[in-house]
Amino acid sequence: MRGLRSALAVSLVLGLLAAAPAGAQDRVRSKEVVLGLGAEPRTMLAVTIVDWTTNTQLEHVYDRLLDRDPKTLRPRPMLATGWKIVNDTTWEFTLRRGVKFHNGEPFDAQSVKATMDYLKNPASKSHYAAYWRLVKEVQIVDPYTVRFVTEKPWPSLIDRASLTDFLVLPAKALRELGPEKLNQHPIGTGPFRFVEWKRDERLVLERNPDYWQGPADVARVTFRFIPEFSARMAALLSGEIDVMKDVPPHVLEAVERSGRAKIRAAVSSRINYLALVNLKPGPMQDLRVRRALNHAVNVDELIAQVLKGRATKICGPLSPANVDYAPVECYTYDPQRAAALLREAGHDPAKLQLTLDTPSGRYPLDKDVSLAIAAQLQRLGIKVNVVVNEWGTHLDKIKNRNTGDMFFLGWGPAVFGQGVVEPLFQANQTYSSYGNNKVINEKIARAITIVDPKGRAAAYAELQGLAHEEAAWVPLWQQHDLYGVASHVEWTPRADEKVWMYEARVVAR
Amino acid sequence: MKKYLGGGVTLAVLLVAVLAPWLAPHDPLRADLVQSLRPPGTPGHWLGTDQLGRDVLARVLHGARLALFIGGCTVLLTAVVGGLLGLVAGFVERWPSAALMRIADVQLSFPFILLAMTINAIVGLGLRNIILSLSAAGWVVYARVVRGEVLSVKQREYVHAAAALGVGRVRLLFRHVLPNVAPSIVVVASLQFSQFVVAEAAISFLGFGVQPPTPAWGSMLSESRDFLYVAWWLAAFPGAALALTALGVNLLGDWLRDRLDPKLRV
Amino acid sequence: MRAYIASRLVQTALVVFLSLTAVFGMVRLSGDPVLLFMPMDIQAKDVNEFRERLGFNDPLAVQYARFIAGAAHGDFGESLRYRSDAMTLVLERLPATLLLGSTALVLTLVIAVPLGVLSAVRRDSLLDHVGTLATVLGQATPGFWLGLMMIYLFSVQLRWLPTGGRGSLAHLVMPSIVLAAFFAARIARLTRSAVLDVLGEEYVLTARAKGLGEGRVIGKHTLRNAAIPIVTLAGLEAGQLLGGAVITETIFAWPGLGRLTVQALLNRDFPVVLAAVFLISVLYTLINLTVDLLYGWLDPRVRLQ
Repeated sequence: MRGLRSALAVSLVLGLLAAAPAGAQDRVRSKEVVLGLGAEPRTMLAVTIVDWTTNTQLEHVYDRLLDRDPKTLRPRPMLATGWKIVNDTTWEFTLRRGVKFHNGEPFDAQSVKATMDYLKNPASKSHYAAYWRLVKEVQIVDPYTVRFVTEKPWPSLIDRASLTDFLVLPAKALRELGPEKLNQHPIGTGPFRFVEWKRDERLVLERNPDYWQGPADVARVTFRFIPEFSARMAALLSGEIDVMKDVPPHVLEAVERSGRAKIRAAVSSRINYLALVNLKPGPMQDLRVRRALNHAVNVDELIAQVLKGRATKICGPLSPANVDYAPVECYTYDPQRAAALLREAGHDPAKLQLTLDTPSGRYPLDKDVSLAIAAQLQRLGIKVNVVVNEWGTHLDKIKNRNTGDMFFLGWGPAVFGQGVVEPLFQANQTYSSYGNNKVINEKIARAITIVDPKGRAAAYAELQGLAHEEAAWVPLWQQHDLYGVASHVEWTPRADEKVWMYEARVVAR
Repeated sequence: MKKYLGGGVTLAVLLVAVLAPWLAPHDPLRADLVQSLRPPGTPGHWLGTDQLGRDVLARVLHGARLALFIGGCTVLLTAVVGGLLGLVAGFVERWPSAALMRIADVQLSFPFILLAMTINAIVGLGLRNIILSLSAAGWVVYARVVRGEVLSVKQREYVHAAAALGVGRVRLLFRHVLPNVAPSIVVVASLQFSQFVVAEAAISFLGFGVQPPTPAWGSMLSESRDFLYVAWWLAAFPGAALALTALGVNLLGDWLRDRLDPKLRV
Repeated sequence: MRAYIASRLVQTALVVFLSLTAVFGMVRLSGDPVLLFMPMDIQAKDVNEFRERLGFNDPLAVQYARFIAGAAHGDFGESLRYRSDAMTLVLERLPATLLLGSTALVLTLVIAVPLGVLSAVRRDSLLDHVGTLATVLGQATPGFWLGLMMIYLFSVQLRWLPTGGRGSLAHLVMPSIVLAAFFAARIARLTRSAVLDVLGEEYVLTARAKGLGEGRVIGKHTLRNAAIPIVTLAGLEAGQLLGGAVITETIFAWPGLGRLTVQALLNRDFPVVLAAVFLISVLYTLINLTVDLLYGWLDPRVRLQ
């Protein structure tokens, strides 16, 4: 009996030890990086579903047609080496030679055409069909030259092509295996090859030694799916994962102090703003009230106190990270002016009651920021009722124009102007808070068709000025993407939120 | 022993709930951004402050009100609804009894969070949502227990005697059966009470909790998750208050059960 | 007997059907699903097109009929979020939840029942009081709080156990303890009161008078009779463990059914929600049936009904 019991005890301990996951030290030796994400990919097929988490993982297996420069955020060559505008409705791309898919299939014009055909096919039910709606067809000029023919002039096509909106699929494999099989075992041209996907647990990729840019330093990338934020934090602090996104500002010190990980920050292109709803009857339909709120909210204080300095203030709808950005004058924090404007509009600040809708946990400290804004407005005597919504409800309310007078929202990645002004300043758009302004509608319609860079810059500058005058929002800030990165991983985050382990290096310390 | 500890703690919590506005040193809703995340022992904030600078002690004290309110309302609602249904089902038997059991099965087999979400879609977030959601999940226990009790009480001699004397069925139910079943309802109520207060924390965790800035222990605990590594006091004090209250009410309920109806199985 | 089982199975089918209908209605009520799985910068007309194609613009009755027709074959459609078959996704997660649930159940029984028995036998002793305290605290501690505290202590500070996920025995330790804590507390208290009641019965006094050893008194005579309410509660709890491990699975990143269901609900992924509810209600009612039958075996008096 004794022998049996001790044998059981020993085997229990051994069992516990033997199957322990590779510790941080082992991973340095084997050059493996583990990322902790909140959710698993929704699909492993490119150009099917729009979702940051999914695309982050897909980008390791597939390549974009064009990449973006990490510093300037402007398009730069990737699978396409050059591009030019042939005429108003045609873009031509020169493709890179000598690139192979993971199954040996060569990359060429066929791949590009097959990708576009796949995403536009209604049977694929791809979200990207809407993004590429203006493209009539892809013409193959020769094996390494393609033309995108559009219905109307579309200068922002180049922007779309340099995001995850065009990750290239293998034509032959798509034809022979079909989307289902490809989803289970994806094949791309990217720096990492697919190894396995245990649903809800992990996605494992290994280095592609034949990558056209040269093999990655990292030999193995594992994505682990940990839905609960504090558990992810614990995993970072215990050395189980090496990278995690969205570390909240007040925990930064704790992470640095732990010695296991450092904080790496990037100013994101994603913006947060307070929408002032003029699409339904209420105080916000009066321009003076909207301007008053812009003077009443102290954005600097919010950044300093709630976000601990981790945000970059913006004064207009586009941020400097946006290629169509033009500087706009800021509304100063001036409570007296705010009160005066309110009185002019016929409201007594002490008697005014407003409602603010906010999500919770969707954007950094969104709920706390909303509560702080309410506290700031309280200083003028305005009573603000903050309504916290579950995310789905929040979107529903915005769509049905059922929110209060104001709502908190974020938008991004916001790297080009059309992606911001078109959906957010017109009454017929789902998530817009402002609209029914004929002038703005016309100017937007015109701006999105201007191909000439100077003309385009001028048009967007004008739009930003108008949005500022109309005080459609209280613009808040660009988020800072705060990543917790293990000390032995060298990696710099990018403003366009592309988390790409090809750019990472594992160094023994 | 039990009754002193249980009764004492419960009484204490009750007193705190009633006297909270006078006991609390600060306004629990007032945000003071400059004082965010101060540890316990900071002058003026004995238990520290949260991320918006609100005093933790004040919020914990006021939380007692909400705990009692949520627990009380939920217990009332579930006892009345579940109790009535159980009474009828146990008394009438046959198909209402089987129907009740199957409805209970249906309800128990779908996810609690779905109930909370549907109620959220109708009423929005907030206290009403929580009380309705918890009640929707909690009535089943009463129904089951009461039905069982009624089934057994029905067999007793005085009920047979009353029926033989020609007492009408409704009167039989309310004058003779109900008073004998009442103790079990009370006992279940006291034991469920603390569970509801704890369940509020679970609802907040899932995202359907109390609207800020209302201080409820459960939602305070849920919010403290994000600050676990930098502000342990945000979780410790509401958690302790929750545990203490649950302990007190539970012990009281145990003692009640020992006195009123030792054979009761909950 | 056979008639009883047959009638119960029919009732099971009814219960499952009602559950599905109720959930179908509730989930439709909770909001527009299309919004949540489409990117935010897609135009309204494209969103509408999607809605049309997926059949969400059809009248509710038509959608319901389509759903029931499919469900009868076990086809719950394609997940809105993942574009894979909904029932397959659900079934893939079941083994993990069963593993966690059964480990928690075993732990509960192994710890709670002896604790309850000992508390009853040594009533009002120190052990009893400590036991009462422990059980009440076990019920008063929210599961997520206990889980996070354990992760902090055992994973971050001590590095003994992993923070979550599945893989080895070590991964199973904390989640099953957290899951078991609440239920163990309940079962311990129930065991205690059940045993106390039985200990006062005449046949126990008789057994003692006959000079039987304490072990036999308790083991053979007491437990069998006390088992009835314990089994009932354990059965109820087992059902709860199935769908109710939501919080534990989320905190420990355990790839189970509870976590999938909650994510699907928050993402308004109807097909997956419905498939999950179907599975859970079938399993739950079957467990109830088993418990009722077991009940009959344990207590002959019940059989006569």
